Amino acid sequence: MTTIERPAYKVIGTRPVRHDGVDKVTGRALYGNDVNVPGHITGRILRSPHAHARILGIDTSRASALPGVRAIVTGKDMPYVSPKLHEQGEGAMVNLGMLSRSSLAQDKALFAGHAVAAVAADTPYLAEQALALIDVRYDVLKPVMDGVEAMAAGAPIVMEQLKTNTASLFRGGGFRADDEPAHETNVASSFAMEIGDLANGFELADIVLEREFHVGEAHQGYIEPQSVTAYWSADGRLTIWCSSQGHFSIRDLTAGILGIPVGNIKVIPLEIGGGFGAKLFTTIEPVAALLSMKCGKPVKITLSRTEVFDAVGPTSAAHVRVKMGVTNDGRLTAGEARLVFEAGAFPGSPVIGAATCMFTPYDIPNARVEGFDVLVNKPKVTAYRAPGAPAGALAVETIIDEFCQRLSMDPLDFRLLNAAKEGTRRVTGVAAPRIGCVETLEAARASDHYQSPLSGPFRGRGVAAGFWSNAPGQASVMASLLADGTVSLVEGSPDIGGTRTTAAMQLAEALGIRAEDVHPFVVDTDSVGFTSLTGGSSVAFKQGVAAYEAAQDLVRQLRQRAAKIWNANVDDVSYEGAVLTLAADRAKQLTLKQLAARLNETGGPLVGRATVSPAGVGASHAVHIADVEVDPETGKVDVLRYTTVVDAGTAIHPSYVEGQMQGGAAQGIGWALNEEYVYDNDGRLLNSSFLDYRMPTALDVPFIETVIVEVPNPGHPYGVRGVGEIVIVPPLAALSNAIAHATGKRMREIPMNARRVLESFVESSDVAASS
Amino acid sequence: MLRRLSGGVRVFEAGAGPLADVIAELDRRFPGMSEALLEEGRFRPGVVASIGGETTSSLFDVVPGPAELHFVLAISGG
Repeated sequence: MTTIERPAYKVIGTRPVRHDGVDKVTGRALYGNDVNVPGHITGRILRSPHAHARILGIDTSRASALPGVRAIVTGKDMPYVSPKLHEQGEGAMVNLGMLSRSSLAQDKALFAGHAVAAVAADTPYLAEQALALIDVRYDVLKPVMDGVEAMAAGAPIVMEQLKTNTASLFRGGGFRADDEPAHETNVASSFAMEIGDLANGFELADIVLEREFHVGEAHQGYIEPQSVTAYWSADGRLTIWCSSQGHFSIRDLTAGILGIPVGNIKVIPLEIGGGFGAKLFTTIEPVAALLSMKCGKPVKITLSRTEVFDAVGPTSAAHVRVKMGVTNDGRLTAGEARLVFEAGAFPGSPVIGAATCMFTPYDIPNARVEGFDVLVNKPKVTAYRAPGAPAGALAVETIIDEFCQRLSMDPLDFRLLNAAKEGTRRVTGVAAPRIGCVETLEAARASDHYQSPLSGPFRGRGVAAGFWSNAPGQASVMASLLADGTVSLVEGSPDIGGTRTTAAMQLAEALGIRAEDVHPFVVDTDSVGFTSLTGGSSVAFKQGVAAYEAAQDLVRQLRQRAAKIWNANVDDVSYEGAVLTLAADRAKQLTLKQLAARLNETGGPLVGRATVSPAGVGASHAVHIADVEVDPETGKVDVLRYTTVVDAGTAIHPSYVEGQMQGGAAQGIGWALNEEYVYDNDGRLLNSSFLDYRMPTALDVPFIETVIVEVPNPGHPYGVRGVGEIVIVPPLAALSNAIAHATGKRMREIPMNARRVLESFVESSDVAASS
Repeated sequence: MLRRLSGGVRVFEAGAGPLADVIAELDRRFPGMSEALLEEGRFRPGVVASIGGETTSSLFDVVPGPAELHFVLAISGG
């Protein structure tokens, strides 16, 4: 671990056993499918077999007649929701109308797997039987399955009412009004951003390279499929049990989609078996709620793995074209990018993530990025760790690697020469605050991995840098002092990456107590103040601020209680290391535990509260180093050694930071080398199982070495920067560069599976000759 | 789009004050700017301001003088 500047913490930086650890390893923790509300029945969803089809009619009469079938819903049962954009926490944006149409198809099925009807029945068998009795008449249309093809004239139109948002500043698409002229398009939005003088920047360059890349979609591969139980009780109150990345978001979106007051909904969070961005918003919750409303019983829907692949989106497939210029002494002068990101069947690809991050590790004075969010007949994409950024980094980092070869420069020295620093102007126009770009590059250069030689035929080493901005958000916590001197910490952020413990540790640090003396709990939407999504690598940051502020609130009240006992002025009472001391008589001291035992006699319970929406979010930088060996006969790529270097600001619990780093690298390795959506000619996914969608196993991934860099974020009381997403930005590029050095061939398409690598041996574009 | 409204001007100075007032001033100088940024009295979804490097979506936040103000795209995380 490389630490730049750091106070002497007592709790932060240690590795206590996670508070939920015993429940998790003993199987006691409750996930979505573990909830069995008394009297609940089973919901199942009928999905379109066609990628693009007009729904001519749905006849549910035979299914309704089946004994034990309690409710059936179709798109006609969904309230009309305006396809207007709806702001979520952390700046994410959701179009409620689109989300509603994604939950249940209206007039058209827009991808194979699109829900067209749902059934609630007494048993799973009956529900399956009922689905088979629903008759849907389709007019099958030609699908469009590629973003670039979808932009071409004459392409099939996914959504006839789509209105392109062409403003530079907002995205997400929308519907045109009925009286607006139709302008058939699949482009939901487009934008451009620019700094400096691009033409002049390329004039200054001695070498200019332009390359085009295609990145296929990848699924997040979370272990737990979506599972929801909804109960619409007779008094009109709706209770939802589900695992998600934001139960307040599930509440608000369900209210918006179903047109019911938010105060009538309570969402009870359960443990989450992975999300990575895919569980930020509603999927089946509104459908389960409608079924429950119709039958008056709790309805539980649990998706199969096939449904998860078919219907709950992966990240975007992307076409990325990048042109960059460099001088003979290795200075980047210009960068230009054109990004076409597939959104799936509904607007909202992460093209902005790619646009704003791809050039950001570097000081490039002249840059322009234009982006397009394009509809195709595939499942609506969802976020996946640093959404959009890996595809952008692949293009930029590959071209930089080619520059380094041409200039005979060390790839890390080149990056250090061009590294972004505080004050560097980004393509958004905003100047960088204090960041750890240089420090991560230096740590990578000094790492044992980089200092160790690699030799042997068909072996190569690749490096790549990455940037992710991280997100702010809102967080609420309540810290109740218990009579034994321990603290109950109630919080609103679902815990994906160990954030219960990181919040508890930050509270403990502020109170001067042990992490084990804090008992953290994630509670329902009625039991704590609003808390925005567990996304954007925001939770350790925003919830940490909330925990810190709640501790300050508690300390203020503790000092008042001690002052009362000592008949002193509160200003004369100090609190340090869980001990209260009277300034005028330092022999007068009370420990936190002693005072906790006297709460009743001094005024009753003590609760520290905080609801925050903090500024000061700190961006993250990373560098990855990959060694590979390529089998020239099969094209198979073996990862021999892999190191990930990340600026965590301050690593609250280093084991969790390392876990994020290793997990992100492993996911990146899978995406880079194997994972792929394979469609047939009619737009049906052919590999919707873990058997055929090949995620990496322990045999495919070496031990991932980690180097934590700590450049404290000045905007956080303890210097925290998010680490949950930056970890997946560099792997595609690092592995692509490693393969290029192993084989002499540049890969332009992800995944770089054995077939593509083998094909590259017989293609003409070798590294030395590329231009 | 904003650059089209500003006649190609990329950088301009405005008086310090609440963000809402600054945008109103920009709109007086470059008509249409307010509509491009705001909808129903709030930032359009997906738009945020960056004041001195800190992003905000609150029109009540104050732009101190001197400070850099940018209007940028909001990024969604995963």
